[in-house]
Amino acid sequence: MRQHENETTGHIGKAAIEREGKYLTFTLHDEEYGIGILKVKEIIGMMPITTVPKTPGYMKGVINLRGKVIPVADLRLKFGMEPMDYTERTCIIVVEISGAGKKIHMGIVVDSVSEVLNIKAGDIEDTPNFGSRLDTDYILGMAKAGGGIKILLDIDEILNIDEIAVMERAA
Amino acid sequence: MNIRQSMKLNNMFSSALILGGGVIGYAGTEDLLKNFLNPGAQKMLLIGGTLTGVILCLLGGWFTFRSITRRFSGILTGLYDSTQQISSASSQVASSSQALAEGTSTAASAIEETSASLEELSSMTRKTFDHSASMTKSGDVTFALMKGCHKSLRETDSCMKRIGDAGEQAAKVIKTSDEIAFQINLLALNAAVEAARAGEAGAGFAVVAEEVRNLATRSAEAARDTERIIGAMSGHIQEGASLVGRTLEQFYSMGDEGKKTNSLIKEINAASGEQSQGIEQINKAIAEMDRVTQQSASGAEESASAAEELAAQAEQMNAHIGDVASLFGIGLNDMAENGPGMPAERGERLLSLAPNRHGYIQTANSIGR
Repeated sequence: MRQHENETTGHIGKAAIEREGKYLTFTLHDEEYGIGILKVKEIIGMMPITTVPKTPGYMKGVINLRGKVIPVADLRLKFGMEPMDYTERTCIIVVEISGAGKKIHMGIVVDSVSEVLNIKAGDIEDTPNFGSRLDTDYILGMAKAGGGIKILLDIDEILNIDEIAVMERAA
Repeated sequence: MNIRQSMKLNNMFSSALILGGGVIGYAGTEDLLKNFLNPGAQKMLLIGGTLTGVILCLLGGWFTFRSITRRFSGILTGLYDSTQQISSASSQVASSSQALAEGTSTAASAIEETSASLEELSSMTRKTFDHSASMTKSGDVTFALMKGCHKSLRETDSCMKRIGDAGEQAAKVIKTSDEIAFQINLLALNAAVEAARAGEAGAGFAVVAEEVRNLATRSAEAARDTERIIGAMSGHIQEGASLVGRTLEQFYSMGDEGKKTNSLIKEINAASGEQSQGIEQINKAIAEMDRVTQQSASGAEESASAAEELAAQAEQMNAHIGDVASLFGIGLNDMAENGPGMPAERGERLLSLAPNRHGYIQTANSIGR
């Protein structure tokens, strides 16, 4: 019993320490989400997106960021939410995705960018079990802040690097 | 048989009597003296003959006198009758002309009253005329003032529009500053990201970035507040503009009504002028009427006095007739009843015409019967 308790706290503490740090928060369909700040490369306002044929629906296309072509995905569409017309608050967060031994830059369209938050280990909880069949690997944890909850996302899990490789080849 | 024929017959009869008496007297005297009688008898005969002649002469004279008196009685009765009628007629004329005089004087006073009220009416009409004239003037002044007011209203309207335009421009500027705040926010976030990448070295920089972000947020909030205020202002301006528009519309209808009123007042002015003229004419006519009435009143009075005079004269004449009648010993009562040329109906008329003589004549009638 005691051993189990120690094990549990030890597990949480370890995970929490891993997850503790600064997060860039943004809103999507009136909900707050967070991405680890070291994953973020740059935040830019909405700019013209060139659509690319034969790509999945959530892939909006590519942008030209200071001479560099970067693929852009709409996170609403990726999450299966209803699409929204882009406003002046709509932003593109350029993230660095790592996987399969390489790193690529990718833009994600969000409703609006909020702030950079320093989230302590004690404020982070694990994702509750919604059922074994549901895939919640892309969620790092739930951050309690200001009476609400911010969902911390694992961007590497969300955007499969293979898919993006397809995009990059297409681009 | 008329009076002259009867007189002639009477005279002839009397003359024959006198002549017969004389002849008889003389012839008896001559024959008896000379042939048959003694001197005593002759003397007696002479006296008797003379006496017979005188008696015959007297008889003739009496007949003549009687016939003349009878005729005279008829004439006097007629005269009396006529003067009675004249008297009553003239008294009637006198009373009726007196009534006429009274009537005309009443008419004259009524005319005077009418004239006075006409004068009042005339002064009132003149007042109306003056007032309507001054009303026309003040109506013109009001119209000019309304024009000025209308101009100011239009200027207010355009001013409101300009304020609205300025508000729109301000809103644009606010939008720009909001965008700038957004961009600053993005830059601050990027700076924070960079600071995080720099690790411990970027800690101070992260604080600066945070401060910049706070400023950007505040500036964005201020921009939003300003935008809200300007939005409210623009709403108020639109409300004001619509109010001014409505005021203008009401103003136009007011102007139309004012024009109508002005023209009506002008018409009233003209009408009261005409009325004034008409009243003056009526005044003249009434003055003329007054003059004529005064004249007829005085004429009626004169004729009344003349008729009274006539009546007095008729009375006097009656008295004279009475004197003459008494001189001849004729009772006027008898004459009135029995005189020749005096039909019964005439007596009736006399009765009706002279009611003051009624009792007298009735008595006469009873005596005659």
